[in-house]
Amino acid sequence: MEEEIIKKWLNNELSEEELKSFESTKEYKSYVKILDNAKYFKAPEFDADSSKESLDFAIKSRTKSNNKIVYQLIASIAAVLIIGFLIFDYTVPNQLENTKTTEIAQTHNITLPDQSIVDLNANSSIDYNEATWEEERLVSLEGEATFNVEKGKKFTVSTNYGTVEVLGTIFNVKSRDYAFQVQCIEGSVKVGIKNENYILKQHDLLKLEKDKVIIESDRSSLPDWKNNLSIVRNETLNNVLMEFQNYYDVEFETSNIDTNKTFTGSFTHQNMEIALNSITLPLGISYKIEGKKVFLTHK
Amino acid sequence: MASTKSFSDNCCKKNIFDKLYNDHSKDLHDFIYYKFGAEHNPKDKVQVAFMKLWENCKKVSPDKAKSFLFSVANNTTLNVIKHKKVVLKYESKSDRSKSDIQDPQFLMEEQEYMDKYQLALSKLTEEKRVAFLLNRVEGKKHKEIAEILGISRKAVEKRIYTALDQLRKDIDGI
Repeated sequence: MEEEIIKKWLNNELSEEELKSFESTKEYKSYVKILDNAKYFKAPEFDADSSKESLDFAIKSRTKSNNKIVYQLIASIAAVLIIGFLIFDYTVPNQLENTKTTEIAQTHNITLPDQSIVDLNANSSIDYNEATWEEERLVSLEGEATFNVEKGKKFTVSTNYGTVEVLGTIFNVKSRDYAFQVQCIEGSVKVGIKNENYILKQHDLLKLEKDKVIIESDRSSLPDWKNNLSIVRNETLNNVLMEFQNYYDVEFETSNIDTNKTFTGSFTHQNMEIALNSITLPLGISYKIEGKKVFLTHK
Repeated sequence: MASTKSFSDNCCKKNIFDKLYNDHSKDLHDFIYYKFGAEHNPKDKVQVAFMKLWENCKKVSPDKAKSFLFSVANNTTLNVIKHKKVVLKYESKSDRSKSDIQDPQFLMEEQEYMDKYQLALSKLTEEKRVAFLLNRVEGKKHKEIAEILGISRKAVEKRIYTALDQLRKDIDGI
């Protein structure tokens, strides 16, 4: 095919005749199909506002450490004051305690003072203390998050189930009421649960199942939620629905069905009806949505 | 005149920095994504590039900021990857047509086509893939792509054409 013709065609510069003869070639349809389908490869949506927010936040914390002298002076005065306060009142909250929380179906990208990055999944929160960060890199997590940790001193994620310790690496921690999982994506991490330590290497996935620790292999380079998916294996419907509610703001009415049935499969975080179909069809359940309530019944 | 301008206008000013962010963050994100894929977290790269710009805001004048941003994002990503094949995800077509039941034969053929397309895209060189997708998916004009990539408009046109040509030959199995 003539290079010039195609270039002109792409720029809508073909004369009527040229276009007619081009349309009659056998390649024409292939070209059109390729251009038509290119859109399915579109880059994921870029949320400029929320990214700007975390950028501003990172810049702010950077500025703090840059203005060291001023900062140290303020810090020493503050220290005296805080000690003074603490002597009289234990409950004075620390001003530099940071909490970041996501709502249902919301995710958030947070840069910590040392430039480590936390990708916070839906319905989750982290706490950390900027003031003591230099001495101790400690983050408390409720929910699920992926951590990309800058090399340095020990970095600890504390959860209701136990702690995860690393030096610098990428890993995902899921700490929900119904599940605890740690996925090591790069480097290695140490997980402490009830006085026992477990070392995870790259591609290891630790799960807590009925108080038993199981370590499996998982070679994915991103946790499932980063692909807008929840993948569940052999979970009770009850747990699956709790997971579901992290991404969709609904309540389930389940009195007519057995929620101890187990489910293996996945559901998307991007479309509630498709997600509901993915869960209910294999289990032979039908659903009805009324406002924020979803009624589940047997077929 | 030029010197007074660069003296008063520097990227440290919040309004200028914010405007640079609004103008370039999405393009930067898309560029990194089409070039390196999702694995290298384009969002982070955008953040790193703007952090660097902010740190160097006194040295970089606003008219140089754009090329500064693109080269920082490009370099930090290059440092991370050793030319792995980039496979871009496609949005599955069946997801969008919700519940209507389609002919399974048709669905399978579509699926096969998209898989072939995906493979063919991953075989293109980065530069062709980026130019092609920025143009056909993001609707960027040749001139804009030329600015982003730092090449001539003719070269952009050539890359888009060769990308399309190679994709067709690959997909049609020639």
